[in-house]
Order: sequence, then structure tokens, then C-alpha cells
Amino acid sequence: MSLKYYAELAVAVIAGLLSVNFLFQKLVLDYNRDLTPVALSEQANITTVRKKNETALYRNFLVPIGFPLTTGLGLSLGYKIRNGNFMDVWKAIMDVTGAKGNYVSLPGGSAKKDTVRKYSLPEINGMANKIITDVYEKYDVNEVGLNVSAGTLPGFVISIASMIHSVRSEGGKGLLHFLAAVPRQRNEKVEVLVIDSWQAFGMLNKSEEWYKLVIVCDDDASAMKPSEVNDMSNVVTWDSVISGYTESTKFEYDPPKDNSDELKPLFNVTSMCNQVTAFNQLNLVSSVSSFIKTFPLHHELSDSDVITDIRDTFTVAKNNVQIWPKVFSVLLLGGSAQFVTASDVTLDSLAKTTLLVCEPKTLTTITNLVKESNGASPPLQGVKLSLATAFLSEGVMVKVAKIHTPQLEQLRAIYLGEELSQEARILSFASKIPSYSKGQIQSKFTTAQLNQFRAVFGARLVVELYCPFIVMGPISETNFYDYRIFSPSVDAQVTCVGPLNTSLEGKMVNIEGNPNMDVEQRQGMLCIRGFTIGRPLGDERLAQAAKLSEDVAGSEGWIPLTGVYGLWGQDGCLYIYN
Amino acid sequence: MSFITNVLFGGAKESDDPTGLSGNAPADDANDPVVEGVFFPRTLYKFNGHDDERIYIAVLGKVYDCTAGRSFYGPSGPYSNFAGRDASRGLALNSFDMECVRDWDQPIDDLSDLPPKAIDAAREWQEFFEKKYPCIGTFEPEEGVNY
Repeated sequence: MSLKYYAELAVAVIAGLLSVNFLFQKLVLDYNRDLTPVALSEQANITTVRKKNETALYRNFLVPIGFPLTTGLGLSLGYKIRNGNFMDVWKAIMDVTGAKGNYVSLPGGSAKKDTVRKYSLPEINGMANKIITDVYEKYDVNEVGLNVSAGTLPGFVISIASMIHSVRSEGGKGLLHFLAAVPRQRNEKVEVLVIDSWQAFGMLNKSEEWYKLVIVCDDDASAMKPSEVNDMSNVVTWDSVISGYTESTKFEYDPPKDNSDELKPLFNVTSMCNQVTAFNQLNLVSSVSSFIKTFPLHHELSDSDVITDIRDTFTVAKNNVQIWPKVFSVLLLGGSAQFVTASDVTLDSLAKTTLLVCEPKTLTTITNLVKESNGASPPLQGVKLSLATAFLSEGVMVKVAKIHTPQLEQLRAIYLGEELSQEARILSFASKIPSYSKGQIQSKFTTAQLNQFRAVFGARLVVELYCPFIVMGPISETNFYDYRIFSPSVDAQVTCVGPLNTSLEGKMVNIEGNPNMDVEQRQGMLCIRGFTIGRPLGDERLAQAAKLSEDVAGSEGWIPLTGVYGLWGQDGCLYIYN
Repeated sequence: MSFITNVLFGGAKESDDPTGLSGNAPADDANDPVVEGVFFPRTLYKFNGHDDERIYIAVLGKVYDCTAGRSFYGPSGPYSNFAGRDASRGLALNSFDMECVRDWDQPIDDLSDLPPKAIDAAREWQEFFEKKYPCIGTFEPEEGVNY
């Protein structure tokens, strides 16, 4: 065998590999991409004009410039279209459930608070009716302060009861008010307080006298229960309030002809810094509608969907605002919902999940659980993972590296919620705007890590950006089919959170003191406007917000997110500086 | 070889950088948005859909970006005379004749010879433009050219 022979062999092998690679690119990858690179680079509608010191306006590619944003459910009222409100949503949910038999799985229903049980929607409706008659109507309640997670049975049912009663009753009685903590100062309007435990009751420190009724969601026979409670007529337990309820399959709602219900308040929320934001019916329906729209063709929400919402118990109030759009959307289409507390996550608690909603920390926990469930790593898992991530980076979803677990077999999408960390600063609407500092996003994964999650779960992963307490639902979300990997230098500087939600539009404004940011390069401080944004409550805060909006963003309904710096990519996606 | 080497060595294909932060983003100047501002007849004329793809039209002192209505205002469209010019008189009189539009080196048409009814018609047209197209600036005379 001569040297020439080896040289020819080497050339032949290289030529063979190159042609295989070429054919593979052309015949396999190009035909199997979920989304073409062109679609990935055109994810927004952008105005052709911008104001001085501002970027152009950006919108989701589903809402063209000049057309309305997603405002609501688009229901018909004679020949007119109306946006709808919570009552329409709940009526549709109750109408659908008879045939579908869907459920909501919730912890906290019995004396043992950790017990999780499935509740049918007629059961929940029946409990809500009982609360309305036995609490709201009997005590003529103004506002109901809820310091319990809405992802527990008491929290969910009381929220539903309040949302129903506040629309039905004259003057919006029984309005829901999510509280971040047990109130230290008296709020005259809050007349019923719902708290989690006897321990929390102990912290009321005589302030229980402020309320017409205090509902404690704890065991009546608990050793923690203070003995003096037995003499208090205004303290009751959750179990005693709902005992004797009956299932109710019927829910009637006849919308008024003037659409007045659409502008009624939905709930208020008080943050840890005591700043109150009010949300109305329009916020809810536009958020529900825009979530339903995110699903791609042939993969729409259906009655086989089960959404599992995993929440941290330490951040009750802000979670309580965010759970509704997704859960209502799934229930509307006949699917089911389950709620799991982050500290109690097990694979069994996620059974039958098709849509998983969680935070970065919880996703890591679940990934570890999945990996551990198989004992030793499956054979050739390293090779499979490398193959899957290589395919994903080319835009092709393959499930070769999926670790099979019976509980997550049907999982099709994971919603990873990234949160803006400086919520108090954003809520303050202070006139002095800080320059950029690191740590805008609470925790993030690199794009390569996201693809690893996609490979291991064999499911799509959507990154969402939340601004808790101000915007209901996400500000933006990445495309289902966006598996792009960016260079480490880009990943280190920014987080891609996808194009804006269809209910919102946004722009960046130039803020002095940030010499490295240039609006001509589409960089600056984020301002948003649209239908999912709450309204700051209180004349002083409202005036402050209006002034800030005028000074920074030229008014016209823009809400500047104080100190949130980002940029628009050439693909139309929003990138937030880390 | 990229895909095969990625599989063999555990790499992944990096997408183009859309942020421009890595310094090697593709340039995209053509689609840069125009800054809202002041247009003179001379600077407006360029945006007639022919010399520049974009079509701007002035109505009663305001300039609208009518690029989306290219089939109407673009070259060989029925209202192509208006592209890149002040269309106030044409809209007021409902006429598409060349006599109703002025060249860029002429003084701006103040419509003073038109009856109030025609001015109202022009205002209605302006409302229509306001709803349909983004307003991108104001239309003003240029010193030394128009006055």
C-alpha cells in the first residue's frame, strides 16, 4: 500500500463526508425544520417611523401595525363584537365541563393541608355559591383580603366567588384583594380576611377585630389554634364555611347590552411594599385571548390538555395575579388544571401534565427528578443528548434523548417564567430613573441549557418575561419553535424573551446616564402599553405614573418600566440585559 | 461538516446574532426606521416610491407614511401624483391632476383660494390618513427654496 493509496483514500473519505453532510443539510434538515430561519428572523411588526430618542414601536408578528391589539374574546353581541369578562369565561367553562368532565386538582382542601384532590368544576362552582350566600351576602362584604395562594382550594374558590359576586352585585361588592402579607395597617375596605394558618392568625395581634370575618384555612382541631378563638364570633375555619355545600352545574350570565361589565374591576393586589395595583375585566380577557393565540396551527389547546402550575409559596400575591390567564384558557377548552406547591414537587404530582408552568429553580428540580427516576443514566444518553441538541440547534426537534417517565409522557410544552427582579422600583413610578445595573432578571439559563431541557423532556420550551404586580400574563414569550443558540458573549449579556405578547406593544427610550446604550442600535429602557397592564391605585400614585409616562415616554398610555433596560433584536425579539 | 462535527464533538450550531452585541451582526441599515421630524418639499420628494421604496404624502401640514398603500400611491398607481408631495389641494378638490400638486421648488400651497367646503374635504381626508397611516412628521417650507 503506497502513500498515494492512503492519500486517495483520505480524499475519498473527506469528499464522501462532505457530500453526505451536504445532502443531509438539503434533504433532511431543510425539510424537517419546525420554523424556517426567515420566520425566526421576522418575529415582530415594526413601525417604519420612530420619535427622536426612542426606538420604533414593536409588536408581535400576529398583530400588524394599524390593527388593534388583542383586546378580548371577540364575542358577539347582536351585530357588535364585545370583549367579554370573567362571567363569560366562567359560563363557558361551566358549559363545557358537563361534556368533558375536566377537573382542577388543588391542595389544601381538607383538614390536612397538604392533601391534594381533584375537584370537578361543579364542585368548585357549588363551593363558590356557598361562599357568596353565607359570607358575601350575609356580611355585605366590601372587599375580601386574600393572603392565601390561589393555587389552593380555599384560595381558588374564594377568588372565583369574589370574581362572580363583584360583577353581579351592585357597586362591585366582594371585590377580591390579593395581599402579599397580613396587613399591618387597617384598610377600611377590606372586611373579610382569609389567612393560611393559625400561626398567621397569631400574627394578627388583635387586628382580627378590624374585620367582619376572618377565615382561617387550617385544621379546626390543630394544637396551634389559640384557645380564645372559640369565643370570637368573627373567626371561622375554611372547613366550617363550606360544610354542606352542594355541587352546582349551572351558571347563568346574561351580559348587559351596554357592555358595562367589561370595565368593572377584577381584583386589586398589594405588593410587599404596600403598593396597590388594580386589574379589571379587560386585563383578564385580553390576557386569556392572547395566550390561546400563542398556540401554533394543529397544536391548539384542546380538552386533552392538563396544565400544571407550580408556584412558590413565599410569593403568594404576585403568583395569585399570574395564574388565571393560562388556567382559564385551558379550562375554557375543556382541559384540566392542577396546582402544585414548589416545595412538594414529585413526579407523581405532575402526572398527565401536557403544559408545565414553572420557574427556573423548579425546572432544575424537575429535571433532576426525571434523571433520578431512571436510576443510572439511560444507555448512550450522552451521545443521544449530543445528537438531539445538534438537531435542535439546526431547528429540528427530535426526541431521541427524551428520558421517558410515565408521568410526563404527554408533556408538550414547558413555560419558563423569567421575572424582572426590581418590582418595587418599577411599581414606585419614581421620577428619578436609575441607570443600568446588573441583575435585572432573577435567574436565567443559557440558550444551550434551554435546548438541553428540550432534549431531556422531548417538549417545547417557551421562555416568558413577567413583570409581577403590573402586567397580567407575560410581557413577551419566545416562539414554540425557537431553538436558536446564541454565542456565549450574547448569552452572557442578554436574555432573549421573544416577541411581545399580542396584547401589548413596546418601545425603548433613551435614558441619560447610560452611555453604552443607543436607541439607534435599538437599545434603551423598555416602555409598554396595551390591555394587560394594571392601573396603580390611589390618586397620588396614579398622578406619579402619569407624570413619569409623560416625561419619559411621551404619555399616550405608555408605561415606562423604570430601570428595565433591553434591546430589540433584528429578529424583532425583546432582549433584556442580564 | 458542521452538523456531523457537532454530533461527534457535542457542539451546536450558533445562530446569527440579532442583538449586535457580539460585534459581528449582519448590517441592516435599509430597514432602519425614519426619525419623526420636519420635512421640506425638497426632502419629501425623494420618498415617492420610485427614488425611494417608501411613499410619504403631505396633507395639511402633516406627513404620512403611505408605503402600505403602494398599490394606490406607488408608481403607476391611480394616485401616484401625490407620492412625495403635498396632496392637500388634490384631496380638497378631489382631483388627481398634475396641476393640483406643486414642484418642490415652488412655495408651499396655502390653499387660500379654495372655498371652505373644499378645505373641509381636505380635513376629512386628513382624518382618514391619520387613522390609516402613521404620521411621521410635519411639512414646512424651506428657507431659500420655498420662500
